[in-house]
Amino acid sequence: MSATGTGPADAGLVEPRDDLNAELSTMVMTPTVRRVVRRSLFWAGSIGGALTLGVVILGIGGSTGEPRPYAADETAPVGSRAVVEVLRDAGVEVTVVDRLGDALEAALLPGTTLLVADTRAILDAEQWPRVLNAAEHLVLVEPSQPALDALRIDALTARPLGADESGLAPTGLVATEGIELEAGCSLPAARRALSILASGTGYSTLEGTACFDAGQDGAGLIRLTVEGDDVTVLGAATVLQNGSITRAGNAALALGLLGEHEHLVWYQPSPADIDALTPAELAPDWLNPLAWLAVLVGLAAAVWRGRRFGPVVIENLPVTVKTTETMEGRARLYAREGSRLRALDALRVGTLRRLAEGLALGRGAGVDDIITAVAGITGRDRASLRALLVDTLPTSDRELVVLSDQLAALERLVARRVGLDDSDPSTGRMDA
Amino acid sequence: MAITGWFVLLVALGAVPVVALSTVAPAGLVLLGWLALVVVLAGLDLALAASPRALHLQRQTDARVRLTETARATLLISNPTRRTLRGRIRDAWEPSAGARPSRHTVVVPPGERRAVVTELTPWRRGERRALHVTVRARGPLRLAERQASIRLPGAITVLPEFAARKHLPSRLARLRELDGRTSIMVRGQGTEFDSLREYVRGDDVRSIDWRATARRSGGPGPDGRPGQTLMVRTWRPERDRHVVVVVDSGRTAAARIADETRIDTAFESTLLLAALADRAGDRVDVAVFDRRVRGRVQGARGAALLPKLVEMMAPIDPELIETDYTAVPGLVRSMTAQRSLVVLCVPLESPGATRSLLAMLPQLTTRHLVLVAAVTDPALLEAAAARDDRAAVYRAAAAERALLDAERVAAAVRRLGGDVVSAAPLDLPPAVADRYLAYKAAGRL
Repeated sequence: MSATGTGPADAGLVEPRDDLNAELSTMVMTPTVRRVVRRSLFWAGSIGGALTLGVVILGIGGSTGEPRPYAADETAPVGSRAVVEVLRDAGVEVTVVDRLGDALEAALLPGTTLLVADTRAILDAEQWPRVLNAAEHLVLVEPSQPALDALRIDALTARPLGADESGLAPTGLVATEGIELEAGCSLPAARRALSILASGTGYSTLEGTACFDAGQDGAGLIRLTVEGDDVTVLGAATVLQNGSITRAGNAALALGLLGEHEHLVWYQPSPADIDALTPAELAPDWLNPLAWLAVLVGLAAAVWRGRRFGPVVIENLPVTVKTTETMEGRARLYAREGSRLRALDALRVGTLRRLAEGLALGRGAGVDDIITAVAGITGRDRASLRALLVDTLPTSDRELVVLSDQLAALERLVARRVGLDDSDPSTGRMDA
Repeated sequence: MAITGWFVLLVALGAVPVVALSTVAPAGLVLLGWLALVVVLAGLDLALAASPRALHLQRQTDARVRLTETARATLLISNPTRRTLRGRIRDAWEPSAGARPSRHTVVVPPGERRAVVTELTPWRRGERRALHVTVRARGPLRLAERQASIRLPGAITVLPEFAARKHLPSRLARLRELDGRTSIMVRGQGTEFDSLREYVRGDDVRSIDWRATARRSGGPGPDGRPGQTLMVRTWRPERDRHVVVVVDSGRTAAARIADETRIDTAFESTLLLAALADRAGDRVDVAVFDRRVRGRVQGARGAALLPKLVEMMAPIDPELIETDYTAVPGLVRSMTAQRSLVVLCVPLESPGATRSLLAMLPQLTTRHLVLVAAVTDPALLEAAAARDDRAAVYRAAAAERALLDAERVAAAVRRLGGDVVSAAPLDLPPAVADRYLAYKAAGRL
């Protein structure tokens, strides 16, 4: 038969049309770059604006990190930017460093005060002695006892200044009110200050000059001379902090101590001073860029593989239904309810139908006719056939299976006796 | 826009300068420089690629193809730009159109035209569509590609397979036997008188027409003398009968039995019956019906019949609605006035589901010869035969039950004067054809 006849679908061979090219521009589904840009302008603008706003807010609000006590550029109350700025205005050249090597180098200039504020206890026993004699005047801000031991300075950490009975008082991190201390010594800077209102750590000494004595808590300031150079241990360290510098004679003490020489090296040890080599130092400096490159290669590969070759074509598929669903459902229902008799009846009726067909008994044949015919052809007695085909009630699933097997066996036997080829499976064709 | 694997590789190659130049320049700067270089190169490549938007595309697709056969869908690509188009093309056909290959590599020099051929081997009947064509044009450096999808609709009609046509030659041979064109001359009940001819040895003596012989004897014989020439009557089956086929396209037709939906089996049966009946000289009218007439072919004969039928059937898929059987007698009345063979391709399942069918059947059987062609599910027979374990026995019982239901419905149809043919999907078309031939031989049409 020919599948191609005359019909409207012959127009499948489309003749070229002149207006086709004119239409083509509107037929391009992929938007142009300009259209993409125009469409995404709003969102790009919104996201950009939000980002800018965030940055601005962060800028106004200042740094969000932990406030760093005694940092020369920290504006938080625990920072020391105020005193550094005032010193700079007063003509003192302040150098802020965070490495020991830089600090020692900067302190080489004559007329230098070296301030060491190791609040994070970074410097170890081998590094501490190097700051000794590096400059004319060494100011130690709240040094720890191990630091004092390493420096071989005759001073002992006493107790926190202004501590309550439990002996607990915050030092440095929080600018507390502190306690008022009288100078009580001949040190010019201390005498000019008269009294300070500060907290910190008290120190005691045997050799040096102790100022701002707080009794058993120790002194707020100790001045010693080590190998010809001045060393000041500043225990009442909050006098340097932004939050408390304006109280009592705090400012006078701070400026008097640090403005003594024309240079001031403000040294706050940083993790860079830790002697052990960190992984970052061990790695070559191209490692970081290489990692970024790997990320970018991954991104590019994702774009390369992920770019779709045009839109997906959608197709509506017709619905198709599996026909055996009802049969399966009914089988499960029989099994769950244990309807053995009902199931067996169905099997028996099927067997009887096929037996009647096989024996050419016709549609109207009764059970007794079939049993008689089967008994005749197989030689089995009618009673047992009747029991199998009609009477026996299954009491368990096991019996049901046995009966079902017997029915199938009987069908095969009859088919063999009748002479039908048993190996030929029925196609279910019912032409009658 | 799209990037190629070479682009990715080039980005990855940045590792070499980043490491090698780390002693000379900061590695971060080298990285940024490399990326800038790659981006500039890719941009250059994009700028030098031919524009896919400027292409002129045109389709030439075969109008129709029979299911399981292969058609060609040609796409003509003209390049009016001044740059050579190098790239890949995707002709976006529906998945069931079976397009192969799905990607083509093309090179179209400026001002020239190339054709790419996609072979379509559809695996579903109906109209298969193509929506658009996607072109990726790469630049000379192979780093980046310009991509555009261009709407270019195309369609191909996929006709029913008509796999049952392999049964046609044997049935036609049987028809010729009936037709008396072979030497067999059995006078059957209800056959029509065809012609008179001279007796030849082997003819049934009972078919000698003595009256004609007597008339003929008056004239001169073959040798000039008054001769004795015996005349016999020949008979032929009835012709110009009417066969009406009604195919149910309701929700039950969507059921898939042995990898073929009921409606496809019905179409196969209809096509075989139509081809056979047309050769036998009968008129065949076909309607596909659920609640409305989905397709109808009437009055077509000869070579035009089958193309019209497959064209009508191609786009019809079953609807998920209950078929309105009460309207079928009216439909048949509208198609034929005389007594006809009405073949109903409907499911015979459970008595409940066929109640309305049985209710309307007497209206047809009083006027027409009604044949109900139903599909038997081979899975039911298989399940009824498997008795391996407890679960299988229960399944067998359920299957027997379903078979019994179908048998009861068939018996009801017979009681109402109809006739039933039921078989597995592949056996149904020849079974229907055989039944038709049996009617023909018996002169029941």
